[in-house]
Amino acid sequence: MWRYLLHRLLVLIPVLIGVTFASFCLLYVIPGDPVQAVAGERYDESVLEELRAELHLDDPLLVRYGRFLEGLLRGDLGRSYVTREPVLTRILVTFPRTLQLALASMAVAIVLGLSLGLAAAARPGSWLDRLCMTLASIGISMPVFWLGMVLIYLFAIRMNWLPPSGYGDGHPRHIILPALTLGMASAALIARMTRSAMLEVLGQDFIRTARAKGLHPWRVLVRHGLRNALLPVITVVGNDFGSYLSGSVLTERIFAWPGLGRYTLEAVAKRDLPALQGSILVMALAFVLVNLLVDLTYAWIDPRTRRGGA
Amino acid sequence: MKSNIILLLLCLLSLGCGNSGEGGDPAVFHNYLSEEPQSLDPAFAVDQSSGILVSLLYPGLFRFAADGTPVPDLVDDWQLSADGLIYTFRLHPDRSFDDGSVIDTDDVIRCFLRLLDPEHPSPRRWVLDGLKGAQSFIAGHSGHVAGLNAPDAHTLVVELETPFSPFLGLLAMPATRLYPAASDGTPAQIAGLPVCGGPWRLTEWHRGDRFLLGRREMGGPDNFTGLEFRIIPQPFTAGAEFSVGNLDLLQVPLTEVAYWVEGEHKGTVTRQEELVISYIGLNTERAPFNDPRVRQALNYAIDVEALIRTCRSGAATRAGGPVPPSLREGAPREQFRYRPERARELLAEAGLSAGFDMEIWQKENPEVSRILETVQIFLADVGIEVKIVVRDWGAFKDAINKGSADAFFLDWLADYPDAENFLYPLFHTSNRGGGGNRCRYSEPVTDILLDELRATPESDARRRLVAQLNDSIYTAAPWIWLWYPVSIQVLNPRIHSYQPPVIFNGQDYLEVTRDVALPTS
Amino acid sequence: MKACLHHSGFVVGAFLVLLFIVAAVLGPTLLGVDPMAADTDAALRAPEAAHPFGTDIAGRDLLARVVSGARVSLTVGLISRLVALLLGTAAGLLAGYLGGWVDGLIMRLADMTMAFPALLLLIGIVAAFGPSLPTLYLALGFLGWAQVARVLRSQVLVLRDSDYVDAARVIGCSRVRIMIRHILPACAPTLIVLFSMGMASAIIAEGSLSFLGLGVQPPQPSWGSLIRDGFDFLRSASWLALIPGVCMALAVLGFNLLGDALRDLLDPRKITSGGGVL
Repeated sequence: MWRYLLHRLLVLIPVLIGVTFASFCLLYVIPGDPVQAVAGERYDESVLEELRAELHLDDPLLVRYGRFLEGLLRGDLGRSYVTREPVLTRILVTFPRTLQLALASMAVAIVLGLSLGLAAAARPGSWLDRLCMTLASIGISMPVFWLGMVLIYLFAIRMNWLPPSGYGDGHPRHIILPALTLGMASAALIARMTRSAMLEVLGQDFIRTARAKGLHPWRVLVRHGLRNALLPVITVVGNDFGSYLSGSVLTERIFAWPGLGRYTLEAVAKRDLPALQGSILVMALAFVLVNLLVDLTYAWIDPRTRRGGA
Repeated sequence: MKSNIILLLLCLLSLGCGNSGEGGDPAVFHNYLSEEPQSLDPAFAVDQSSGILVSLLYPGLFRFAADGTPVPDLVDDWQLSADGLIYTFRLHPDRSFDDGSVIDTDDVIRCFLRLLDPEHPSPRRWVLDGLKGAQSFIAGHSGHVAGLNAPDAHTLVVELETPFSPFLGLLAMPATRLYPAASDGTPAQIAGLPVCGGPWRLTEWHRGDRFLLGRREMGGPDNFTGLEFRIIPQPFTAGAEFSVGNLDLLQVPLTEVAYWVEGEHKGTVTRQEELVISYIGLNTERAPFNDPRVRQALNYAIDVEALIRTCRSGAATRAGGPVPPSLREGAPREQFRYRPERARELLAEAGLSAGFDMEIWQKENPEVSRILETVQIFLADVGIEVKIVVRDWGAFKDAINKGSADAFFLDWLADYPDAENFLYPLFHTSNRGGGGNRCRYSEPVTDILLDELRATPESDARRRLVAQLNDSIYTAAPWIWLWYPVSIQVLNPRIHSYQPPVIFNGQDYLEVTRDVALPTS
Repeated sequence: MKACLHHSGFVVGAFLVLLFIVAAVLGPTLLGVDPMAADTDAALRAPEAAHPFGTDIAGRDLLARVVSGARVSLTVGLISRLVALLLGTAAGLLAGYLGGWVDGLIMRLADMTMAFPALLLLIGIVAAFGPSLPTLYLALGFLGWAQVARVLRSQVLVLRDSDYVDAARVIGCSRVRIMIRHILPACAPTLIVLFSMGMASAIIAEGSLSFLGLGVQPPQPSWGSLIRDGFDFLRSASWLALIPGVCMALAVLGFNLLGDALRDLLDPRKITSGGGVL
């Protein structure tokens, strides 16, 4: 187990280096220049040159990348070209907010998904089953940017139940709509997987025995079926959690959520390489670590998967 | 376990209910910015959001009133020499920064020198490079600027190389704000917050999220004690926040003018023609746009009035040259009314009767896309095939600064309220590219007149020069003349004494009041 | 075939998919309305007989634009998915069959692609090459290859040790021949399912990019750009955002249902449909 873990951790290093190098090269070939964001709408060409020199933008690609790696070893992600503030400072503020949103989305996905899935499995073929599965199908089909705006329109503007946007200093009311938006697709997926896992179990003899003994169907469902449904739920949550972290870019923009996703989007627009580089590194790191955690859970439950190791 | 989770969810939901637009602290004016400010350092505050905040947090020698005129801020009184070269400013003796230090001429000289310092390049160097001796300071030949002197702690004498009548406007720009310095010359901070000295101080800075400003000097009982700026990038979201009462002010999206203005809106609507011009710049170095007849044809081919009606819901004044009407005299220019037949004639004269293909570039923005899609239809009518090229902000700026786009849609926002700001940066040969002249217009006669304009003190002669330049550039048509936009804002109906500024940093929010007596709706 | 018709997911999914394909292919001809034809006198009309889906601010018929958008969105989905399958299949076959360092390298590349924030990668590629249809095909295709490669690799790992592949090896077939003639056909059901589900996420991804203004260039509509445009009118002309949104959701739903049903019917395990996390 420990060797497996060590091996997996070692494999992460080239992946992360690859990700940072790829983002470095990508930003290098994109047309656009960070000093144009610094310079604004009216500037002298000579100032532009001085700014480029000050920010070492004229150095060759590999030299700049080397400097980044060197800083990374010292735990320094550099300073933003545009705001001149240390990238790490900003990431330490924004990443927890993104993490918060991801966790809330996961909670939504699990609670909503399990409830729908259990409700559907309780009476297969009934109208409740159909309703739940239809809801699940709809949930998985809506693009987040559309869903987000529709939710704002319905629950904030029309009903006035929830605040339309913002972080609200972490007040839980503010996280509900973005978390629903982000978690909806996984909720739908979990609902479907829970249902099929439950049905598989419920068809087995011991359940029928339990039912015959007069146990309340809900208890049967929860005590026996739920355990069986957990594995697919872990799969979905593990797969999607990583993408919540990196994929909340649009949700954060729509809900004015001051997380890492929005910071990164602005960094791309302004070609702010250090800011982008640092954010992508953190997002990728979070993604691979969550995946590792999921795989470890698997390996713990089912040692056979350790061989696959991909 | 599961029932716990459901309980938790129910709790969350119950917390959520009953949010009937209480709108937060009534002593705080709730405002928003659509982009995160790039920098709170005056030397780097080049974007609108930064400019707004810097102007509220730091004092300047002058500031802009809402109507755009520069009014004294730190300055008690001032004189200008008869030749228009030497300004003598008396600074108010007891204005101080939040760290307790009195603001004196040393602060002014330190901050001004940092703007010019070649060791720490500032993109706003051009603001003060007209001071006497500034060029040799920038070049490193001299350790001080000859035209910047302080006979005593509260008297400042500024000498210019040549007269520049909008100079006081430069002293009201965000770039010339004053701040106490840290050891490296950047604005000093205490506990992560800048040390302020303007009308407001920054009391909370939630990075990426919002800024909370506190009033520095006591106001009346109905005045605001706090000023909040949230960052809300999506206009739709800002609209939602306003309609539930969480914002006191909303920039009305053009598509919703009817909803807010004529519908059952919940606010007071204000309209303000800002010192802004929207245009489609034509790259005059490229064929066929190097031929004035082609450029004129493009202007004849587009029904700007119709565009204003549809794409701007009427919220704009048709442009008659680069200079907004409030900054010039003379009759409105009407030469380029919609005359597609005249456009075809001109194209035929230029040997392009078969039409041609062109690209119009834009920064990604659905409002601009709607405008250009209509422009495309008008131009197709005279045989010009337009391809709209949408690029993200970085690539768009790169292309227009380097001159690699045929044509591009852009707004120009005034830095200071003077016709010169709409002429010299935009059309002088020396400003081609990033200097502002992105249509790369280069006309020797215009250059001479522009240089003359800059050196002429405010007078009838100068006003005639402005009119002459405006008219000749209008006729030469390096741009497709679109409009001076009218910004439409809705205010919370309980807000009073708010005047929408004509220049983006022209509102200090000190006089604005909230009427708390009205019952809650 | 009979099993298909009894599978309600398959029926609904296939119906939706067919509906949109027919609309995209024949719609523009059948309607005979130019999606670009502006008529400012008929601007912002609510849905009515002459314009079943209403009109936009330039008076363009929304039905015609939605149909034309369907063509764009489906083409982008289709081609980008083909690119993803092509890249992913090649990578998955090589990694699974050859193993060793090739496997390691390809899987690390796949890890990298998946660890890279998807939307940022898309924005980067589009900014680098300029937004155009070919860029979209390649960018979205590139984004999808890693998942295909992983799924295929795990299947190839199983097939590699199967009897009939051993038999082919014994009679002296070349490695390329074994991969293409013997292993690939056995993976066909998996590929079909991956294709259908991938279409769903490609349509959403195109929408997300267009939502940021970096998708299809105006005035050509795609569902994403129609939605983005429509949201500016949500209070004054709500149909402009709602109708394209519903169309997009239905198409995604169709491809997801079809993918799920095909998985049930063809039974390649271990694939889950992608949600709209972008």
